[in-house]
Amino acid sequence: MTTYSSWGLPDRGEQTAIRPPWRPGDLRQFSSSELNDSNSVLAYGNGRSYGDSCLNKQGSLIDCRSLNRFISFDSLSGQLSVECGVLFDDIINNFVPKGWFLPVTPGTRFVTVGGAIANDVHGKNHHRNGTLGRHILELQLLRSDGQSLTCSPNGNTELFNATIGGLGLTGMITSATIQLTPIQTANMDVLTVTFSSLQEFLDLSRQHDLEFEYSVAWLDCLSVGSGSFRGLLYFANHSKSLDSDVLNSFRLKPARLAVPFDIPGWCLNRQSVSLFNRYYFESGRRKSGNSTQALQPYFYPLDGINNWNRIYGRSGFFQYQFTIPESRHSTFERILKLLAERAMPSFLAVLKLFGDQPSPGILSFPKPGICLALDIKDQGPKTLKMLDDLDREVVEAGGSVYPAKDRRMSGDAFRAFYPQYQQFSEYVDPAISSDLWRRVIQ
Amino acid sequence: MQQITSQEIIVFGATSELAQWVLRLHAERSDTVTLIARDPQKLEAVAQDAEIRGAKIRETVVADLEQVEDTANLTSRLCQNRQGNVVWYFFQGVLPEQQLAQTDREIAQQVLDTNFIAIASSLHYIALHIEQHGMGTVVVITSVAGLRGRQSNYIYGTSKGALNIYLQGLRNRLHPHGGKVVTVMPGFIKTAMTNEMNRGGILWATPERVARDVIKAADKGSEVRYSPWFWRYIMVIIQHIPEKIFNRMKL
Repeated sequence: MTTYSSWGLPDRGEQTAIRPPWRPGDLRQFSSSELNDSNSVLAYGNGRSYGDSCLNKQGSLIDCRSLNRFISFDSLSGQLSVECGVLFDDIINNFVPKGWFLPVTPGTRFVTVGGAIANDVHGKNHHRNGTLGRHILELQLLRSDGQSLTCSPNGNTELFNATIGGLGLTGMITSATIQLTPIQTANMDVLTVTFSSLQEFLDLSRQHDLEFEYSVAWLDCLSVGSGSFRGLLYFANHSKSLDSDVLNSFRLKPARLAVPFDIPGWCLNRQSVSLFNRYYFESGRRKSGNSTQALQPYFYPLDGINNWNRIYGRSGFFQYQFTIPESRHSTFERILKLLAERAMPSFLAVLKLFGDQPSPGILSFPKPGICLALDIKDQGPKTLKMLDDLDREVVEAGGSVYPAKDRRMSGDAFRAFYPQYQQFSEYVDPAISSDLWRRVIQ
Repeated sequence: MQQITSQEIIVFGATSELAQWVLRLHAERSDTVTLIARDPQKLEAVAQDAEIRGAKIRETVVADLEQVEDTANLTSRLCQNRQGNVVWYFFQGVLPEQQLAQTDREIAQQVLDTNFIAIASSLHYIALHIEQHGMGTVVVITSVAGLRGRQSNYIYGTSKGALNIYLQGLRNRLHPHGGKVVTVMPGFIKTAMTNEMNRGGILWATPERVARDVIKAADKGSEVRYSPWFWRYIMVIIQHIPEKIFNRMKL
């Protein structure tokens, strides 16, 4: 027994784990003739999902971090094949010096390739590149019937589409081939702009998203409570000037700060968040305009602080991420108002206008429209009640909530967000289950 | 850290998880490597990974490192055409379930063969090679389990303890010839080998962490390195518990 946790629930719960099968391996060893929850398995990567999609308390986890080898790399085409437990961190360290970057990256580099595919992650370039699933050329899937299937957009396509964003339920992803993207240098050209209304955010996004590969905004949630709406929009491109020195000497720096223990709950209050937000907005406004930033702080600011999830104390926190169509202004504003009234304000609220590039993933989360992600301190039943109310607003607007960040949505809500779940469940491997899956299906 | 020019390294037990992490640190320096392991498929996968990360693969050798005679012959061959400061790494080792090693004499024998006799037989040739060339580094992964026998794993502990003593003597012998002998004693490592154990708590280190200690010790030519460092102090205490009291304990 070892402790396996998810990002939103630090240091909680023990879970049995088993050795991963060797590539190309056999998943049959994990499945017995009589399948039930207690002998179900689930592949576990690096535990950066926020909720319970990566946990399987009634059954076992297959700890995949030791499957972390590079398999092949074609330096002409930028196609990289890796085992499922390779971290994005490892890919960046090895391939940025060679002039290649990830086609899509989330806000942390400590995710495994298998986990990133299973959650069909997106990043600041969603309007341009869509989700990660669009850049997976091929993957190897172990099924509990003993088969190891090569799935791609051209072969075993249905299973491929079910596996992209399939929450690890369709089989164990043992390896995958990713199309990397060429870069000239490890610097970013950044444009910072302030906005003071939802309309202004949307106008600015539409205007600049054409010329910038990356765009994302930080929203000051406290301003919403006081009736205004303000934040900072960051647009960026990889610098075009070829600088091979910067590339060759590139090396990710380890985190310099850490949160060594759970911060007592009272430290995070309306006043401290308000102070932080005011400082953050003002310093951002002073720096607005064009600047050059290094790749690491641009993409992974929070990775600079180890265990930052502990600032929410022992009770942990929720992350709520949803997307709704752009036309639903009023729903968006109602949700923000609900949050301002009924939750501890968040200092990490991330706003983005998703693009319309479709993902192959059947269960994939992103849809065209406005996407907001924010941390919410767990204050017990009242927080749960509020989140259920938010779900209803999102359902009504035809939007969806991100399962990778969830540990509480009801089965009704899930099925309303993802009516395609029935089509998806045909591809679920009978020997695989997760805490999330049991919650939303049964 | 000082800049180190490209090196030649030879790795016994190259598919162990710790070996792979050490290998990656050498690959970053574009070192030339020779890899030895039992399973051809795994060896191939480890070699590919190291090559993509920058290592130059000189040779991969499939060998059953439990076979003392074969291992010694292999080492003798490897010595023949190598010069300069070669770093010889020994990661080979098996951790049996103590219960099995107690009931099956052959398993106990295998543990001693793989973990001690085969390594000592290889070191026989390597020592001669180092004496002849006036340089060379040997890095052997032993274990804190080799510092005091206890009922829960004394057969494994014996093999590692014997290695510790052998290496002390060898270090002494090679010192005037410019050879370095490095003993690395890790504590508990989170690898596939220990996946079924209860691995909570601060005593458990990741293989990446231990690998960084291993390469640091190899670069400096340290004599004895505990990894992580605090094991040195834990073991001072454990080694000083009087036998009378230790006898009644269940460690």
